[in-house]
Amino acid sequence: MSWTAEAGAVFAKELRTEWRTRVALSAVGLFALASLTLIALSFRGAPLTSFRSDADRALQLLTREAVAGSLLWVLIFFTAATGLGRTFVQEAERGTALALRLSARATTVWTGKYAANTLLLLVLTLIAAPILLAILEVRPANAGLLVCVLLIGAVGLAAVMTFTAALVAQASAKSGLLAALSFPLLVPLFLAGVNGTKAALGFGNEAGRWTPALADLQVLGSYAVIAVTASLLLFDFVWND
Amino acid sequence: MATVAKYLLGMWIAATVVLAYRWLPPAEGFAVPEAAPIVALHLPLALVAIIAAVVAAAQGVRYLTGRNLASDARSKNAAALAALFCLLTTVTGSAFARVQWGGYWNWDPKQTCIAILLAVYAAYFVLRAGVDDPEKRAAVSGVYIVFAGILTPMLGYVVPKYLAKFSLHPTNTQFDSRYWTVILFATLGFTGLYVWMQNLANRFDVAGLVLQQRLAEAEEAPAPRLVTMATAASGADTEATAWTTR
Amino acid sequence: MDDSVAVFGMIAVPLLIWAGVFAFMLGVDRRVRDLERRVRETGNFREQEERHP
Repeated sequence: MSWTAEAGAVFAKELRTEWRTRVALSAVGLFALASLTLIALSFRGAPLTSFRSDADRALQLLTREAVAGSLLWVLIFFTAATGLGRTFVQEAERGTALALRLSARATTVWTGKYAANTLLLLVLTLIAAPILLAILEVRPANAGLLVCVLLIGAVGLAAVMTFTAALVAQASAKSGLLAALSFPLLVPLFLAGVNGTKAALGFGNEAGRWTPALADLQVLGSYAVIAVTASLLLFDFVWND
Repeated sequence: MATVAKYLLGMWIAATVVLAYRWLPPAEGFAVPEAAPIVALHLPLALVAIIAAVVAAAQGVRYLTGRNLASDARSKNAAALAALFCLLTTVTGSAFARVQWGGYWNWDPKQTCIAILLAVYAAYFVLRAGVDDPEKRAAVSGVYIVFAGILTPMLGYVVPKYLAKFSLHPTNTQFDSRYWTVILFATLGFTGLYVWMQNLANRFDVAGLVLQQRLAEAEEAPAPRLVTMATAASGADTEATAWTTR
Repeated sequence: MDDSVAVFGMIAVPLLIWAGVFAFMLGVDRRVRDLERRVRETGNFREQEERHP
């Protein structure tokens, strides 16, 4: 067969098989949609306590602090979706799932994995955030606030991701599924996180005070509590079959 | 559902539509006063979507506690209908937004919330499609819908605060009493329609489950029993004769 | 003449849509009842079998 004919045949086969497993495609499609929505929301969400009364909205959207805040959370979301999804899949791959089920209670399994995931996410975030800020040449107006926002945000994010990862591990086509499933549930966290981060970076808050972001921290905190509680309550149903 | 009830429902909804279009006074303050019927139908659709969502979550809980696949079927159907009514709500809202404010999508908090809800349902069905074993699928779906049910109310509280400057939903409409009548009629009518659709879908799925069960049982039953019936009907030990005459 | 046509059109379209949806629902209703009847019959068939082996 000529080179082009061969490549063409493989191409046609790829299209056919992809069409047959449309489900996997729709997961990837949802993933793309989730990414777009995250970017849109992070650029449009306004601070709870607004400081600029009549500022030009385009200018608001494009100041470096605003962009940095949005990009940071996009980065955190994708890092989490990629890095935290493996916890349960590994169990299936290594055959340790049954042993784990027999030796530990469901809530302890979740808590242990959740703690490990939170630590991983925090480490990644605390490394990536300064690098991103350096790339964008943004200095945080209040570094302590920034760390707080990222910390509490990561706590909630890791909870939802760990729980959803357990669900995704049961599915056969996993690509993009974790991001697509967890994103709609994480919208309140992202809105609060992005705005808290923007405030910490000095957007509308040049003096770097804590008060503009207090409401955001409250939302992040309550979200984390609800997410962890719900996960602990429900994990048993998916773990023990 | 009795046949009479169904035809009554059909007429009820038709009457409501007629009322919405002919009886409602054109609203002042609307850019196109004749668009009033869309609003009168938009709100009931949203209410029914919420009802369906609650049913989906409740049936999910029922599956997790009872492990009956019929509950999973009911949950799935309720989720599908909730998604349908969410979509209808979004479409009617979008049409009204286009007419009233000139754009199909405005990042209004309620708009955004319904869209995110649609994303939850889309994710729910993609998840379902990804799991092959029926019982695992039911468990995973039930857990996801309950988990989502716990986390999404926060949306209703948080999103309006962060997208407040995009808010287009009026907060102090004084609806004429006629509007409330139409909205009430339409809510009752659409709820009836939802109940009918849910009922049909449930019965279809339960019939499928029963058939599957019977098929499984029939496969376990020894085949000779059927042969015995056939040979008994023909009266002779035809198999033996077939062999000997070879 | 124009006005009443427009008005008639505005109300006829949603009514037609509803009529279509309603007819579809009745069709589905009939098919589900058929299916249920046939599933019930497989049940009877099995009972018959058990009684006259």
